[in-house]
Amino acid sequence: MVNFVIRASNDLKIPIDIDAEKTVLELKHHIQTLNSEFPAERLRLIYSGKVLKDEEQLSVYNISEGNTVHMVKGAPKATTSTPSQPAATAPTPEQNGIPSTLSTGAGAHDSLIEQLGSTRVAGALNSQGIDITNPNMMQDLMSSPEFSNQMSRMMSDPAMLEQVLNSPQFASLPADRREHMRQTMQSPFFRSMMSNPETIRAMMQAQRAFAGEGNAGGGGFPPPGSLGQPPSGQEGQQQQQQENPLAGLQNLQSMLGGAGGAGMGGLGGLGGLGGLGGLGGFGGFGQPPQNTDQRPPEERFETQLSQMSGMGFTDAQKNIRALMATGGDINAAIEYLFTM
Amino acid sequence: MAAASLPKRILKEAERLQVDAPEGIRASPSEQDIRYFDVSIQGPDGSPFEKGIFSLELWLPSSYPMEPPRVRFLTKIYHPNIDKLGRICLDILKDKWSPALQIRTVLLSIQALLSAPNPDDPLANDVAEHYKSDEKAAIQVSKEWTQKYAQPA
Amino acid sequence: MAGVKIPRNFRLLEELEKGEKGLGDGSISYGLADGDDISMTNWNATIIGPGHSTHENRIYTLSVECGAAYPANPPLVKFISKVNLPFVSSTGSIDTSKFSTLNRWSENTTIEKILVDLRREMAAPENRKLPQPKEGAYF
Repeated sequence: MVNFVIRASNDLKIPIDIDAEKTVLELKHHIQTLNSEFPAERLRLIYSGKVLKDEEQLSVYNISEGNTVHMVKGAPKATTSTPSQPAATAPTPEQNGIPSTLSTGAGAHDSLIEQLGSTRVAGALNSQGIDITNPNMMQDLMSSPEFSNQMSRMMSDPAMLEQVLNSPQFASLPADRREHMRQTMQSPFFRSMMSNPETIRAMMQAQRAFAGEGNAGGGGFPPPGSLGQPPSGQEGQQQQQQENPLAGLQNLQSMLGGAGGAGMGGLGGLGGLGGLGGLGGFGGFGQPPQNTDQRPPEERFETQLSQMSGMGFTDAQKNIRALMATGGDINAAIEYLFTM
Repeated sequence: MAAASLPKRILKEAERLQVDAPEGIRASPSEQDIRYFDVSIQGPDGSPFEKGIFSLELWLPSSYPMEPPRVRFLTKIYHPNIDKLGRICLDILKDKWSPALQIRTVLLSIQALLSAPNPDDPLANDVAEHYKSDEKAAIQVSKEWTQKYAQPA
Repeated sequence: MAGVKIPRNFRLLEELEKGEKGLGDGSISYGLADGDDISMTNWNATIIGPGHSTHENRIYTLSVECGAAYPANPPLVKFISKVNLPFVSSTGSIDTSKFSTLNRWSENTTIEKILVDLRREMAAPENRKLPQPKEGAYF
């Protein structure tokens, strides 16, 4: 089987899940059954600079997971269809078995950041009439100052945090974990991550660390879409929130991830390989700084310190100063050391 | 944050790779571009790539270490997670990258990937299919390719 | 962070990925001619003819050759599908002096940009009504 996306000239996208042994002509008929606006005989398909030949098997063209095949409708076409697709033709990638970096790996769906990064944002953005499933729009959005502000506001609003933490899903967690989350979310490091598009990749990484903190594979967190305050009244919006967050985040991810086909999740937990002494850096984000932490810095920054000494920074006192100056952001701390 | 000049972290990493290279791994920065490394990785013992010497190229983008290094194989290799152009499907090179990782850890992970091919990681890749349908035969091809393409000059 | 130049191979891998994922302009497409070619020299490309022109609904195929000096030097771009344009010779090659994207080459110009600009030329007022050979004819 191979999964890819058909992109029509009006930017309509049709996810395809088809046997690679099928011919191009069979694919065209398949498209027609999914959307009668596209009669097979009028379609021409293009992948990677090649016009696909009807009689060839799809496997000939080596279409990789998650790639895009462009579609041109031969004769002048009737006016456009809506960009939103009926559920039947747009199964979520997960239902469809389309691998995605988000759906691989233990507990990826459960993570806190995904909750915040998807549900809340999706809601906020939808209410502004922004289509989070449109990658182009998301791209613009990510680089817009409003996005940063939005994120920053969300993160810094204690009432909102309270609300999140008191939602039934989190309320069931032990008090110390909730406290830890609160501190995490209030930390400048976390907030700068959430509000800076440059470091949102780092955010994606941190998501893994959170998921790993005892929630791996578990149901500690609610499924995407169910967290947060209900949108004010409109059912339609709620509906969208239920469906969109994951898709939105995946778009975001594929955009930001840039490289690599979906599903290149790779080792799925390098830990399993064993013997990788050098990999101590994994999960480094699992211990963001904790503002109200009264422990001595040696203890507070234990993880960062051991990573830094692993990188060859052996002066522990300097390291601590750097970490304190940068709120525990190890990378910033290292830059700080170099510029001192 | 980072100064515009070549971050000292890169110099430091490069230096350490020279004086204290992990076993079976060599990485030397190019004279023209210190961000570009010629890399060779020895196929791990007990893997189908045993005794092979694989060439790779590695480059550190300007946003490194916020972005992962770019790496690919230059030697042909029959491996379910490495494609025909030498691109490597490894999570830490994509979404699981962390600035706390280094060139060193990346290369060690790639070496580990040679010991542990992962055909279940869904890939539109005939090698992965081969590994799933007939692992023994696929391993044999991997060995043959190692013989054919991955021998020191 | 000016001054950091991406090496040819990684630059081409980036372009390839963008092409395969179809992230850019939907009216053009490009990819390696031979998926095994580790040097990534020869590329295929298509341009979907712009609307409201004699190119409408046509698919033009091109070849793009990225030499060892790419992207310092521009690639060699040729039309394979027959097309009637002032900057395309009778063999399909592009007269770079008449096509500014190649003429005033910058390292930051991508294969995608070349194709988008070619398509824009097709839709330009002076070119969009030029009579075109039958579709499916090749140089």
